[in-house]
Amino acid sequence: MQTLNGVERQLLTLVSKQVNVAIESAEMDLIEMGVIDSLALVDLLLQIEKEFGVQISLAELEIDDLRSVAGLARVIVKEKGK
Amino acid sequence: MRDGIAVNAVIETYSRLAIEYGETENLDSCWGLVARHSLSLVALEDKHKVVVDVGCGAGRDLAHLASCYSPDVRFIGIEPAVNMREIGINRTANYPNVKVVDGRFEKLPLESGSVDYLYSILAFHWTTDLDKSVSELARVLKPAGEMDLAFIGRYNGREFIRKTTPVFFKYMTPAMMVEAASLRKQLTVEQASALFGKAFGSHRLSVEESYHTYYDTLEGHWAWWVRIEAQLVNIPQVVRVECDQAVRAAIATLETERGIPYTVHLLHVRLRDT
Repeated sequence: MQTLNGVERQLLTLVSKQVNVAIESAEMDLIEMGVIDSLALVDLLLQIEKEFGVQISLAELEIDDLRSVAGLARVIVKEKGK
Repeated sequence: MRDGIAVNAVIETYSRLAIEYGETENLDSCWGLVARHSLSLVALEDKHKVVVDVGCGAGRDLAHLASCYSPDVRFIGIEPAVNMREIGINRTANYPNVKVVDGRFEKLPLESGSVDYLYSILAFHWTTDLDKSVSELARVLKPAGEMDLAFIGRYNGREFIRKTTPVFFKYMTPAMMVEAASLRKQLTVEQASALFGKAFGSHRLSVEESYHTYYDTLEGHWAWWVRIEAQLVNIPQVVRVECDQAVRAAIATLETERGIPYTVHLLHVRLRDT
């Protein structure tokens, strides 16, 4: 099973590519930075599902899950563990 | 459901706000200017005998074009929002060659191969099904039919989005944000070229993008907020006023000496008989 750190590393690359901004830290606030808007969110979630082979439940998502790569990585690890 | 297609929030909201939509403040806003610029892209010629406006709204452009061209030209406006359509029917009542009917990009109420010229101004991004819509456009146009579509692109309004997204995330859940985003289809120029190229080929088709920054006051920009209301209807009413105030405060921080900027990313799909 992929570790949280491993997921974070892979996700840093994916998010940076997706939003066309270098995300240097897993803790950076993507929303306050203005990196994630609603259209980018849709694209990003689709890419995450494709690359990590998970089905993300929108109803269970909290805003803090989306704030950072670290938050998104926790969601992926949780979904993979289901 | 209607005709097998779910009635969506955009259509319902445009219908509900049809009167507000026609107010001078909205028409004079930057989006009014974009609409007028887009109308200048419409290129009617003598050979166009059947002309269609998809998403004609309250029929302003139809009435204008009908007043400028021969009564022999048959104009058909297609509009899914019932109250918009009613205004459009009344506005064009003096032109017997104009008809305004129910329909949408995904299901055009027109015979195959019947249209000489089709245009649409700031409506295509509201389609619910890109492939089906383009397929419908290709179906209704005559083999030598021509077309101009102007609609917003992927990078529209970046300044506002950057400022307002953190606010919306306070009042909307991620699921609500995704639902709101799914109401509009904002394409890059590459995506639009690929989409329309599949249906029309590349020799008759061109897809161009443009960026234009409009400056206005906070109130001036707020006047066009009616245009995006459909994406905000899920915000609980008890916090809606608070949300609006927070959005206005966020937008106000963009103020410059020229006013508050808003950059429109416009795509223009142009089909011509060669």
